[in-house]
Amino acid sequence: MELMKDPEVLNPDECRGVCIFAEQRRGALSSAAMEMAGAGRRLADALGEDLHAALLGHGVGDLAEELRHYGIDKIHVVDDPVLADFLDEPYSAALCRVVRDVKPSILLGAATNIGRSLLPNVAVRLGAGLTAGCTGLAIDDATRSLVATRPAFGGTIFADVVMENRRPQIATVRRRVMAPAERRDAPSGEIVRHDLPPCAASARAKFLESVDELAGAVDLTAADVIVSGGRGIGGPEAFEMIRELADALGGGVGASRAAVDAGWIAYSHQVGQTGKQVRPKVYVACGISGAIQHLVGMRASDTIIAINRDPEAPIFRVATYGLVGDVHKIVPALAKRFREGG
Amino acid sequence: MNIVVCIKQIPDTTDVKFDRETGRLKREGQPTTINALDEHAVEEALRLKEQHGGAVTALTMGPEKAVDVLKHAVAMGADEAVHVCDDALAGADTLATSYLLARAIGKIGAVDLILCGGETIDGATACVGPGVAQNLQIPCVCFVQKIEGIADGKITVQRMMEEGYDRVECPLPALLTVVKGINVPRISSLKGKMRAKKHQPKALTVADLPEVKPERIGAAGSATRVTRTFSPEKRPEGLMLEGEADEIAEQLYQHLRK
Ligand SMILES: Cc1cc2nc3c(=O)[nH]c(=O)nc-3n(C[C@H](O)[C@H](O)[C@H](O)COP(=O)(O)OP(=O)(O)OC[C@H]3O[C@@H](n4cnc5c(N)ncnc54)[C@H](O)[C@@H]3O)c2cc1C
Ligand SMILES: Nc1ncnc2c1ncn2[C@@H]1O[C@H](COP(=O)(O)O)[C@@H](O)[C@H]1O
Repeated sequence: MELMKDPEVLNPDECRGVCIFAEQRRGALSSAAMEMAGAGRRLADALGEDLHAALLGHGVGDLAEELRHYGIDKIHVVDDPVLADFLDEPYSAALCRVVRDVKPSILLGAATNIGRSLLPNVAVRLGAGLTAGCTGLAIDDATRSLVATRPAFGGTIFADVVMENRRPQIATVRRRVMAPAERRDAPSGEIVRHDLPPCAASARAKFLESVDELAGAVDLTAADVIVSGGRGIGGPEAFEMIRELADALGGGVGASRAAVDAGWIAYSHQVGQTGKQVRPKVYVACGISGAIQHLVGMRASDTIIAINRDPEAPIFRVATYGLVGDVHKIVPALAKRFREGG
Repeated sequence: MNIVVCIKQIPDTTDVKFDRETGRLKREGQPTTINALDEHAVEEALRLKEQHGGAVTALTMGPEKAVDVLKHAVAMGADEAVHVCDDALAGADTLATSYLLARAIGKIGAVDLILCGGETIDGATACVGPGVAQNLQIPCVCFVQKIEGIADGKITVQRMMEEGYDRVECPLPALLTVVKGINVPRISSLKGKMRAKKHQPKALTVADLPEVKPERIGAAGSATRVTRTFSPEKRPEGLMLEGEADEIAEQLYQHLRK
C-alpha cells in the first residue's frame, strides 16, 4: 500500500458548468441519469453555463445518442472494454479524466450503489468536497456556489452544506427527488470522445457476473408504489396478499426489519435505516408499527397509507391515510377495490 | 490475514436531541453506541480470522469517549484496538477523515484487508470507506453482502446492487464496506467483556502518524461546511378511516382517485 500523493486540485477560476454522471448498466441508461440531467439542467441554467454528461462503459454509442435527447450540451464518452461493468478503480480514473478535461464547477451523480461507490473515490482523487445523499440543490446568488441540502439522522434534521472554495463541488443525489429531464424528439448536444487514462487500463478487481435477484420484481428505490408488510401480517404466507395488493397498484413489495429477521422475506425487500431508503408516490404500510428506524426509510414518500389495528401505532403519525383494522381483512379488500377500478 | 476494521461511535439514534438555539446535534451527555454496520464489519473480520488466522485490529478516530466502541470490538474478539484522538481532528468531514484514517492504517503496518461499515447512521455519507481505499490506492468494493472466499491472495465478494448483486474478485490488500445482510454479529462473551475491561487501546495523536499535513486534517482539511440546520417540514395531519374493510377500501379508493 502506498499513500496517494496530494491531489492536484482544480483552479476554481477555471471551472465552469455542471457535469452529471450518466449511469448506465448492462447496456441501458438508468432512470437516475435522467433525474441528474433534470437537476443538472436547472443548476446550469441558474448559472448561465453549460450542462455536460459523462458516460462511461463499453459499446455505449447508442446510449450517447439517446442522451442527446435530454437537453445536455456536451456528452463526454469514455468507451473501453475495461469499463464494460462497474468497477471502482477504472470508473473513477475515467471519470476523473473527464472532470480534469471539462473542469466543471459542479459534479452530480445519483446516490445509487454505483454513484455512492464511485463519487467518494473521485472526490479524494480531486481533493474536492462531496455532499452525499442530497435532497435539494440550489445556487447561492451571491457566491454562485452550490448549496446542497441533505438529511442527517435519517431525516430528523436537514443541513445545508457548501463546498465554497473547492472544485468541482460534488453531490450525490437521492433517487426520485429531482424531476427528470423530459425526452425531446429532436436530438441536440455534441458527443465528445475521451481516451481511457493509462492508469485505468488495468483494473485490479475483476467483474465476474451480475446476478439479478429481482428478475421480474421491482427496484424499490425507483418504484412509484410500494406495499410493505411487517410483523403484524402474521407470517410468510401473508406476503401473498401483500404481493396481490402491490400488483393491483402496480408496485413493489417492501418489508419491515421484523418481517425480514423472522425469515418471511429476503433482506433485499427491507425498508428503513438498515435497509432501503425509498420515496415512492404511494407507500402502504401493513401491520408495521412505525419504529423510527422504519420511518427514516419511507417518510419522504408522497402519500403514506398505514393499516394497523392499533389506533395508537406510531405509523399513524406519518400517515396521510390511517386505516384502523385487521390487515387480513383490509388488504384483500383494497386489492379487490383497486383491481375493480371505476 | 491481518484485518483492520474502521468503526465509529455514534449517538444512539432513538434518542437524538438537538440544541434548540443552534439546531445542532447535542453530542455531550448523549448515550452513544457503535454504528450498527461497523459491528457487522467487526463480526466479518472475526469470522475471517477464525478461518484464515491472523489478527483483527479495530480502529477509530474520535473523541476520548470513542474508546467505548473499541472496547466493544475487543469484547467481541478483536485482538488490538487503535484510537486516534487529537483536538486537531475536530470538525473533519469525510475527505479529512479518510485522509487521516489511511495514515493511521499505514502506521498499523502490514494489512491484508480493511473493512468498513457501508455507511454511518449519523452522517450516512458512505464516503469514508471508498475514500480510505483511494488514499491507500488499493482496490475497493462497496456494499458487500457476502464474502464468498479468499484464495491465492484474492477475495471474491458479492456486492449488493439495486436489482440483485454482482460477484467481484479483488486482489489483496483491498478495502470492503459491508451491508447488514452479511452476517449476524455475535453477542460478546463474558470472557470477552472481562478482556475488554482490562484492554488498553493504543492511543495515537497526529504527531504519532507519518506524513500528516496539518492543512489536510480536521476542519482545515475539510472541503464541506454546514451553513444551516433545520427541522423537516411536518407532514400534514392525516385522515383516519374506520369501519368495515369494504367501506374503508371504498373510502380510500375515492380519496386516491382524486
Ligand atoms: C440499529 C437498528 C436498525 C434498524 N433498522 C431497521 C430497518 O432498516 N427497517 C425496519 O423496518 N426496522 C429496523 N429496525 C427495527 C425497528 O426498531 C422495529 O423493531 C421494526 O421496524 C418493527 O417491525 P414491525 O413494525 O413490522 O413490527 P412490530 O413493531 O412488532 O409491529 C407490528 C404492528 O402490527 C400491528 N398488527 C398486529 N397484528 C395486526 C393485524 N392483524 N392487523 C393489523 N395490524 C396488526 C401491531 O399493532 C403493530 O403495530 C432497526 C432497529 C435497530 C436497533
Ligand atoms: N471517525 C471514524 N473512525 C473510524 N472509522 C470511521 C470513522 N468515520 C467513518 N468510519 C468508517 O467509514 C464507514 C462509513 O462512514 P460514513 O462515510 O460516515 O458513512 C463507517 O461505517 C466506518 O466503518
